[in-house]
Amino acid sequence: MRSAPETEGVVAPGRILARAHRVLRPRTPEEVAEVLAGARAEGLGVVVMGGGRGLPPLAPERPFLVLSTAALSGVDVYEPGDLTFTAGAGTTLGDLEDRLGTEGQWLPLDPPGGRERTLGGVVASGLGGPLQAGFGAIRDQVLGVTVVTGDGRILRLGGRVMKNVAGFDLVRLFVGSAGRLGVVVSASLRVFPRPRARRVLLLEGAADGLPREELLQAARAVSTAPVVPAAAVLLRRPAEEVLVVRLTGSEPVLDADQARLEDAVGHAFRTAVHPERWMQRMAGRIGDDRAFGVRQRGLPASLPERWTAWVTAAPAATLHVDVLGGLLRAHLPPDAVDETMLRRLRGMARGDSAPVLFDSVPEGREELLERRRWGMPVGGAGSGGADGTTVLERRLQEVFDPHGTLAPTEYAR
Amino acid sequence: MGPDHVVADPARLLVYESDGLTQYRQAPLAVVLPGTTDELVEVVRAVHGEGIPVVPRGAGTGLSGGALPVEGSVVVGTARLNRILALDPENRLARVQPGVVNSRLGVEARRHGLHYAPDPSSQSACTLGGNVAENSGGPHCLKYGVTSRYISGLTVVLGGGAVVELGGAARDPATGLDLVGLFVGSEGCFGIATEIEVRLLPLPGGVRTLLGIFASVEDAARAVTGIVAQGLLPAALEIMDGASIRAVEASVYAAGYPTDAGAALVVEFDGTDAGLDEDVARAVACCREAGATDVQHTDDEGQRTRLWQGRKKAFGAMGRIAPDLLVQDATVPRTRLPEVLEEIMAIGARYDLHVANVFHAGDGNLHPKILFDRSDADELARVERASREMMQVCVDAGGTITGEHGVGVDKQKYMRLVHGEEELAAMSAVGGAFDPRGLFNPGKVLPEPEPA
Repeated sequence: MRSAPETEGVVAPGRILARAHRVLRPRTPEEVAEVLAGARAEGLGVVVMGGGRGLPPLAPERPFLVLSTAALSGVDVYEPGDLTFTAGAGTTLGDLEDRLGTEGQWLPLDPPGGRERTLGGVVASGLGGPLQAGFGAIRDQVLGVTVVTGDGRILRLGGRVMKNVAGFDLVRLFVGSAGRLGVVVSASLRVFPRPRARRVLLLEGAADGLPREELLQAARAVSTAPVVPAAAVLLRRPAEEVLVVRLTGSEPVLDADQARLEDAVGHAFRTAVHPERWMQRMAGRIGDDRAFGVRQRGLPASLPERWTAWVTAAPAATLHVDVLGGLLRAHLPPDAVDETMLRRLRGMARGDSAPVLFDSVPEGREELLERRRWGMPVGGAGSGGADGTTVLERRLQEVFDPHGTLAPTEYAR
Repeated sequence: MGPDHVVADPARLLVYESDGLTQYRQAPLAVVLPGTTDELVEVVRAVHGEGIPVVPRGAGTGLSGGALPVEGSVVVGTARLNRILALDPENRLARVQPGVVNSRLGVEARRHGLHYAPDPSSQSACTLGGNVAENSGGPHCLKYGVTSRYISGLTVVLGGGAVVELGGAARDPATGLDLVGLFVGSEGCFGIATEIEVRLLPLPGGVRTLLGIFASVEDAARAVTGIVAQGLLPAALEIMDGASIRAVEASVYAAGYPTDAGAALVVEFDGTDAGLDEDVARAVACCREAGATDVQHTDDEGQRTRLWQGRKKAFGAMGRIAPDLLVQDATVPRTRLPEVLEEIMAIGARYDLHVANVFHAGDGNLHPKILFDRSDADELARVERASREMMQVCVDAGGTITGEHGVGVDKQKYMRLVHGEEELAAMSAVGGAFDPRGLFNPGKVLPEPEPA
């Protein structure tokens, strides 16, 4: 276990590492438990860090240490015939992709940040990318996890089989728990055969001469078409609006799916010449210190209305909406966000709308959010559900982290 | 609520004494059948107010005793909570009450070109509330996943009648814990879901079904390995062994499978029609390479039903051979299937039991069926011992004690084969977070604590 502040190979907001008492890299579940016990004895909170990309945008207010999962990496078991593997939390998605690729398989996960994200970080965040449309969410791919709870218990939950209902589904509880209940040290996931072919289709507003309304209608038509693409997103840079659709399958399937989508949309798509570049843009970005990054969930049918509202409220924003899943991500340049903009964002979350949540904050602009606390929704109903949900979540935190060692708990809402 | 919807007459209570696992029986104090969420809340409040446990019940088709009344309990049945509250094709969502029958949602969704993917064998009778409680699977979950993938939100009634909204498709998945995912599969021990938000999918453009006949289960399993290695992802991959085939062919459900066969393999592909014939051709090649004695395939709906017939009726056919039938349920890593099946048959032979196998070969989910006669005490004891050994074999192969039927009361005794004391304690504490007084389906799922 390294105990000196350690930044080698770590991409994390400097503000978190700079304020951490130290960065520890445990190598085993037992060492993770030791780190947690040590932190508790010293009265420190613990921030769990994978690749550093998915960390909340601000450092905790209380003193804390960083537990890096970098030394908990590597594929422990990979059974191509079973379509499963088990790997350490610190294993990057890039390494997994390379390893699975040798057997003609893949993990259809495209969270923002892509290959640099770690398995543990993605599992703990529970946030995937637009491929969820075609292949299911992260929570549907995780078969088992080994976790160390906030109070130091090592729990082996779930297993490596596709179907498992032996007891309450605590695996689900830890997927997406964002480090609030425990540290994910390894995970078993199901994998898929790599599609024989893929195609990325584009429909651009300006370049294809489409007014915005028609582009938005096209996006809606994709999400109600009789064929579900692997993924579909609507992207915007201030001078560019483009609908990007990713198809997978054999060549005849791609041709047939494209034809059905074009039927539904009423326009012909262009085929991307550089599909990799577009697939990267489809995944989106996160943990960017040069911009304000926010996200807001919504139902697919509300896309046109939300898109227009965002373009009007934040003309300088880049936008990224998962057409089938409904998640919207916006990035705003540092100078575009002031108190007025915060008020507008709050306005976006009025009524039945989901909250607007900050994923990243530019260096030097932390003060704008610090008063509102890290990761806090800037407004909106249902930021964490009704009181009943709050009570349940509090009880569950007491079950797994009774001493409140895991720092994120204080930012939970 | 009128007296029509409260059952206390001992004769009428009889049907509620067990679920699909009929070897356990217990009469409840009463059965209440609320017709609205408000009535449900009132009933839970009143019953819990007296400190009396509530046992939730859907259609009672479960196979692990999940709906078995506990002593001194009131059964709350969801049969009258059977409305589809909303069907939203624009967002591919539906909101239903828990008593809606699985296949009825399928029929309604079909009007909009959509379907609800999880298809447990009992889908013409089982309810979505029951599916949520058990996290039910089905033959098509190889490609589509199990119930939990399709549940996006729940309105639940917890202890004392508190109503809580969990999740919802419009909710940010990272702003809170996945309480929906946790509630699904909680076997009625956390509370009762009174509204269920489900995700729907567009109907597949085409379907192809293939039936391969093999001399042995090993050959059929080798064909499956070939299909997986080809990178094909069928919607279903089902094997039945020779004993199952003969049972079906001797019954009124005879499907025309050859009775001297060692195994039958049903493979189904669905999706964009243009790609299906190629998939089928590759799967046929895998079957032939593995030594299939006969391979048939079709895209015709009526023919598909015929090819599936043997598989779908295996359970019913066997129920007619012996007075009692125990359907086991376990999952192993797929590649371990052949050796595990061999051991299961050896265990059956050692205990002189009639065992037949039908299983979801794609995801390693086995269903050994043991035929027996309950009135023969010696045989019953042998069934118990054989079941335990079968579970042990599956666990030793890296598997688990139940893949889709749930723990209920049937598998509690095996929970320590797969879980340590810390994990069991954690499950118990999580149950306590939802149901601190332990008044929902008490005594189910978790085993008694080990004596100190």
